[in-house]
Amino acid sequence: MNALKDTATVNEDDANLLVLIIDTNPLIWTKSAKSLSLKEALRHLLVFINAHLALKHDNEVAVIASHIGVSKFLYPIPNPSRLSENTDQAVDSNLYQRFKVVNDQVISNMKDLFEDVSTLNSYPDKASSMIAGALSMALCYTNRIMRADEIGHIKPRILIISISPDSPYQYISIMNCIFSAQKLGIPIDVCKVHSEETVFLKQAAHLTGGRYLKLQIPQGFLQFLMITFLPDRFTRNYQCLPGEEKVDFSASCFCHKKMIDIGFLSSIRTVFNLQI
Amino acid sequence: MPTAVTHFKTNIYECLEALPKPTLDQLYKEPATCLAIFRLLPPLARQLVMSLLFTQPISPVNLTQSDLRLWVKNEEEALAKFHEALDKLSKLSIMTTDSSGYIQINSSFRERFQDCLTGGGDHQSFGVSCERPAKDKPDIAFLDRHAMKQWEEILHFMVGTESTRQPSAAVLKVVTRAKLMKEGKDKQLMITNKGFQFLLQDVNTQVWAFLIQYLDIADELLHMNVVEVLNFFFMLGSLELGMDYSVEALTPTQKQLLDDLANFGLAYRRKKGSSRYYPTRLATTLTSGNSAVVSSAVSSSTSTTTGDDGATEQGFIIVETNYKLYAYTESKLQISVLRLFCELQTRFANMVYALITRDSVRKALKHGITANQIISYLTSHAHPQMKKQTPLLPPTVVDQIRLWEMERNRLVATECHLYKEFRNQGDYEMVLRHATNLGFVIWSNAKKRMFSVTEEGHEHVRNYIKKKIAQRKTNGGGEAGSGIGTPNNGSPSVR
Amino acid sequence: MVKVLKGVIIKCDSTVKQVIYKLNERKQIIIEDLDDTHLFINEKELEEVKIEVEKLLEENTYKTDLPPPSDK
Repeated sequence: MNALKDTATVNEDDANLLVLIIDTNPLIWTKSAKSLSLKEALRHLLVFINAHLALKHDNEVAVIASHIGVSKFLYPIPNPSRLSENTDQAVDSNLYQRFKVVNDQVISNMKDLFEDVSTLNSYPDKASSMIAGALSMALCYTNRIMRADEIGHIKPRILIISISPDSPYQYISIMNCIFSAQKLGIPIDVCKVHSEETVFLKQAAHLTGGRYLKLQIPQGFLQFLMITFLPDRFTRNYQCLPGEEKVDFSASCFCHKKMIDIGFLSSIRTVFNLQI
Repeated sequence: MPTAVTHFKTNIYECLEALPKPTLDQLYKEPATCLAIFRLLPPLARQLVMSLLFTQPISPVNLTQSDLRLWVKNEEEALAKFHEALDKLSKLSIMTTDSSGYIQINSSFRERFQDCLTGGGDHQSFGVSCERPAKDKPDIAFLDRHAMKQWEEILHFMVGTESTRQPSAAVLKVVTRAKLMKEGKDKQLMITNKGFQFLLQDVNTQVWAFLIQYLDIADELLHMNVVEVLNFFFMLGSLELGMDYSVEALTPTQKQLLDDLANFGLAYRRKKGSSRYYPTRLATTLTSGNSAVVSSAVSSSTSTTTGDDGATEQGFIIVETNYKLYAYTESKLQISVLRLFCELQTRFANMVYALITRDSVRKALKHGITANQIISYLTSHAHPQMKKQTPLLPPTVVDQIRLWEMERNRLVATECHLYKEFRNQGDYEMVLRHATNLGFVIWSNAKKRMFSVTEEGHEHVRNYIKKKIAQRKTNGGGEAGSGIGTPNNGSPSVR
Repeated sequence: MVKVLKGVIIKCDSTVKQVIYKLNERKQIIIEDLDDTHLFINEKELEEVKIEVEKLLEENTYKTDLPPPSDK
């Protein structure tokens, strides 16, 4: 039954599930703080999430943080205990209830994430973040939602807000994620906010039919998100939007996890660089 | 054939479209209303609004319509959608083109909708909650029961179930005004064809149809401000089910409204004059549009607690290819709706077994219910089990219901005038072409040189022929044989 | 020269057409037989034609006896 479900064609009435992966690597965000700090970016992102929820009554959202050494769901989380306790905070007459629930949870969970420094200190590779982990969490989550939705009414997509550079160590797992996304028909959009281009994510966008774009004017982050990454899968059929033309298909070798220009394939599809 | 009550989306939309611009500007002062109206727009229009909403703070950009056109693909379908979007936006005066050709977003809409997304301002548009927590808060199941009880009471009254008490004055006014019921011989209210059609709609459509009629009355009879009434409807749509909200924060008009809406089952108050109110599911799903789909998709995980009402909302009808129909319902109302087009056979504790027969469908058709309405009723109330199969309903049954309808219309009669005995093909074709261009021709046959025109076209075509004859006469009848009634033939006999 | 007649044009299938022909035997109804699916008839007779057609078609509808419910 589920295998027959059509994820490719989108109807006007379909709900959209947006899985937002935010790269929260604090070290890189500090570097970019001059143009766009994480706090500011988060403000823009929350409005963007609200805009997505505003588009349609039954639109859904999930937010995952890809941190150093760990990836975590910011929304939804199983038991949002802290918020429901103090009732006078539960309803704000100036904000639509759905927006409020999502925004409050994202903010408070983000705080928790940053207060916990133990994983940060123990993890060796501080240059990059757990994009592969976050991607697989996103895919598992969408898969679960799609299975629960029997009539195929929910159309998922993934958006990655990326700041860290590629980590060759994650190449294999990222590629695996890309292939599963491709198979499920889930487009992966990538918004590159800071630092140099990431080859892997560019490939992800290219292979899944998503968009890869680099933010040019940091002050216009929200506007940039609204124009390029807000359109749902139905509207995209009719819109022409800027996309990256050139895609760099370089891989990293499976043996030393290094980026290579020429690789050798064995019959079981692994890549080697023949370096001893 | 009376037309069906169209789906609420277009209906409430038409209602808004008819409002003058100042009223719309007033409406856009409430963020909750902005959000609700925004969701009524077609997808591309929503995207256009979002794309332009936050342009102002960075740099004031001036875009013309052709600039916007560059955003959509240069394909026929995409362009059609684009123009539809712009058209709707300008009709609701959300996005208009100014004299110099630049696109302008309605400033109060822009401001308030930004507030809505960012949570800014102090407009209290999304309902003010009570400061003190309620002592014994009714749970969601209770609210659902209350909503269904109130709403079904109205419907019961319409189908004339015994033992229903007289509904409130507002309800009576709405049903008579909307011509859902009319006074019969003995001053007793009787259900009309439109009423039957109304019963077949899903609940959300019913509620909106009802509210729009109410809006009409509110304006004329109760002297309420349309803007306030609409704002209140849209605010109710944005509230959270199971929460309590304060009555204090409402305007006097809205307090008056609340009484009526509580009567319809859209809200619950413990007692009249209570300081808090609870919106019910009928109210909170007002702006969601496709409630039937939503409830089946969402409620499987969230609201197994809703019990009976949840089941009715989700659908309970199973139709088999042999025209047998099983309805898992105990509701008298649903059973009397089914009785409109089915022959009930047996009633069990939790289900009814009925047959769809030629006679039963013909009876419904005679009441003015169309085949399409029956089919859409069966579709929207189909049991979840049925929803898994494609096509949802057995095609044999669907086709047969349509055939039964066509069978009743085996002969189509149109009053008309028949033109015949043209002298030659040229004349015939000339007159026919003229009449066709004006769209009067019902039937024509070149071999027999006959055609018929509608009642209204007759005068026109006759004058045309007379004019032509007059021309021929003045021309001296030079072209022998090609004129309509050449001079020596005298005037045509036009009866 | 052109002649104009006032009446009612009826669009129907050939079965109904034959039924109307049958009614025509009793009294003058049809003014002109236009083609296979169109008839031009006297407008005064329209209501009667409608009723008669309905009646005749109803007589010729055969219902299968659907399996009756087991107990009632």
